[in-house]
Amino acid sequence: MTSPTAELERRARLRRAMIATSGIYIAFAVLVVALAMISPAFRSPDNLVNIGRQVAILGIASSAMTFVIILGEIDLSVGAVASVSGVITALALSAGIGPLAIPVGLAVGAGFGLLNGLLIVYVAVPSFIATLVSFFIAQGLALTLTTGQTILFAADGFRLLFATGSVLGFSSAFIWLVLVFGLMGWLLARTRFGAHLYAIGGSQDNARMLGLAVDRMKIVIFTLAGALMGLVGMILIARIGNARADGAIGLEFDAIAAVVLGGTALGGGYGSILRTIVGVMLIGVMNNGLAILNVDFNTQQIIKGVLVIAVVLVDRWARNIKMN
Amino acid sequence: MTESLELHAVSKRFPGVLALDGVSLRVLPGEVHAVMGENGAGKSTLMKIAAGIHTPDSGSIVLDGQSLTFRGPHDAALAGISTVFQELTVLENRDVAHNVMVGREPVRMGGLLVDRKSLYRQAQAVLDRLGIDLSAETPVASLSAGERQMIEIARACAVNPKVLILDEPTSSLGREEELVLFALIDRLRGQGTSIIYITHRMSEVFQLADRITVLRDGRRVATGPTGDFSKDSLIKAMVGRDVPERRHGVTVDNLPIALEAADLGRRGHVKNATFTLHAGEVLGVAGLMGAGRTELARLLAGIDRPDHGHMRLFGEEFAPSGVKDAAARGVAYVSEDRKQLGLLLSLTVADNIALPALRRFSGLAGLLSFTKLRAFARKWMEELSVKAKTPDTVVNTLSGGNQQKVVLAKWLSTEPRVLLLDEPTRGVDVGAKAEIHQRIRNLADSGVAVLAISSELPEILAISDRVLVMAQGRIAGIVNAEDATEESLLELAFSEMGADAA
Repeated sequence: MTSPTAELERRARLRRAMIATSGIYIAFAVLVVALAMISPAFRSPDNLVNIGRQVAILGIASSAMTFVIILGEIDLSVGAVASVSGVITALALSAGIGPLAIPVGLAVGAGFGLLNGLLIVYVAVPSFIATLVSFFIAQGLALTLTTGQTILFAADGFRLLFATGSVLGFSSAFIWLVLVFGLMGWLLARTRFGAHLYAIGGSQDNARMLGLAVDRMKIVIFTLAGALMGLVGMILIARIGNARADGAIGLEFDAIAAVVLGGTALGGGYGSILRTIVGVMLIGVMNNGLAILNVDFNTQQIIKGVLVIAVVLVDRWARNIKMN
Repeated sequence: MTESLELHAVSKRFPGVLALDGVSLRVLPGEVHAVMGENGAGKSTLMKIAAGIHTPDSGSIVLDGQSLTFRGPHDAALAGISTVFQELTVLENRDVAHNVMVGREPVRMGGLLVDRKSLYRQAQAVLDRLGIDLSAETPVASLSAGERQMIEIARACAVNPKVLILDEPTSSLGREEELVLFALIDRLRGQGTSIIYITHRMSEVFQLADRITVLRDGRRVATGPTGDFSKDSLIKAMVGRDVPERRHGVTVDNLPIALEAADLGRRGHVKNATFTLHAGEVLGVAGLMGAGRTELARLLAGIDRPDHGHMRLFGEEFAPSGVKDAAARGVAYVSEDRKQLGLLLSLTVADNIALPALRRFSGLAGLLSFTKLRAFARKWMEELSVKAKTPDTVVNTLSGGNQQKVVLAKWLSTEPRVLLLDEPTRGVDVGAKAEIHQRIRNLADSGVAVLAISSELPEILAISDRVLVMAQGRIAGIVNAEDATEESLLELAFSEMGADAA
């Protein structure tokens, strides 16, 4: 079986693998240094706070997506559910129900997440289809409720709580991001729930044979992801002070990109919140840097696409090193 | 004494098949009870019922006098029934400790945190107690198949089960690991654990089992103390008829040469292979794991290209550019890994059989004629007695033996002149094995040149005219099967180890 030499070789291989898979961190460092050298505006302290605020929405969506992807599934309803949650919260606020609007917003998100989970488990459709269904329903609902108009609301407390407030110089949106990262990181890395999530994501069939509650896990993860989309919807409307049916449209793709940039494979079973944080920061810093350099939004999208394939290729190359 | 586990008159029907028909099984405390039968006899279904994965249609499960209903594998585990499944269920993305302790991770602070220290300590303690020489921190992805199997066994034993079900536990184990497992089984038996042991290997049954139950076609056909059975009577019970095991031997000198290899080599795998394969013979290829047997076959089949040397096929230069080229010239290769490489599991029997010869079934306007295709498939199914209801049966639902027959049918339908078989009976039961052996013989008798790689020496001796033994990439010797014994073949297989080490 294992001889001491085999064990040593194994450790050496793991060490090499760790160096090889740190490509993403190197890419991040290079990007930050390069931008800091080119642009004084980029390296100003104000701008760092600014980046923190900008990445809050993407960060929360990406940590939910991380859970879904580790499970071996996908969630295409992220942007639409966040949008409709925002719209309904805004309607609730303007109807004057006050703080009760908050649980309403969360419930809308969680409800769509639950719908995803139930469709996957009980109707036995792939998550791709189930979440596509939710995407359409959520989007249609949001458009119906707004009739295409922007919903205005006046609730200063609400806005302070979710986005515009500031604690020790950090925006409240950023504080929410840190809280979510903390919660999700703890769940994933330190609890039995997280251990079972990795196990199920590694092989749903095997996990079922091993007696783990695979179906329940799917429902819980999608519901949790949905609730976080409720939070995202509220941060979104709190930041700009109004709600639109297309407020967070396309957010799912940025979230998937951030998770993949972090080096998490779409097959499930691997990934971590830390990796996703790096992926989110990479996109956040890049968007911010390119905006400062006056690169327009459309060009940013193209660069993002190129970056994703570049990082994936580097990652594959690194994995090959690891195998040999 | 009370039975520790009793399955009483258990029946289970799957769409189209009655998998179990009123099967009863009693396992006493502290006994090793072997369950034998061909693939498809119902062994695995019976075990999955005991493990809570399938629910029986009728019948009952009684443990220590209590009737139980399992809603899932978790319930069976709670009741004290641990199972090591035939298919590996290790979690490849996790380390050893998380595999051994899965579902039972220790926690602290009222469940808020996994207690990692005690997770690794407990897992390591289980490994040490069982005599498994692995670190709990090792990622499973870096383990061999044998080591993974031992992890499964460690997981099943971690809870001190009342009943331990082992479904073909030695299929991927090395000799040393086998000994660790057998010692473990002895120890558990001594502690009063009931062990249900499923295997195809006769020697293990007679070495380990206290009692044997034989299943055939979903029914129990025999139960009794091991002493009541002989190898022949067991086979007869499993198959329901006598299976002759014959030795063959033709003089190859008079046979035409089909394939000739001279100084064939591929760096790191095959060194200076020079040999001839005659039309009408079965050339067995023996050797240890990693001796280069599959690699040699891959060179002959055109999958890999040699670094040096050359081949001639029926006297003509043979340097295939790929499998397609080799197949076009009548050389067919049947992979050892039928699930990954040999079959498209989600397609039907007909689709699989017709795949290499699809061109033949063009009908109107170049579209596929499914009538022709099915008729063709049906003919080859009959030829090889594939037990599937129709040509439209999905291959995935067939037993291992029948899947292997489909692979064979697929390549035989191309009417090859040279047939390269890699482990043609791996994971195949006794009855189907005998049929496949007979089929290989018939093919050779009809003039096909057959090269058959096998890790089972009795199989090599049973089907071969000559045996080519490989050791560390070289051909260690070619002997007539009539003159060979398992011992003499093993000696050759180990022969160059000393030379290289010196």
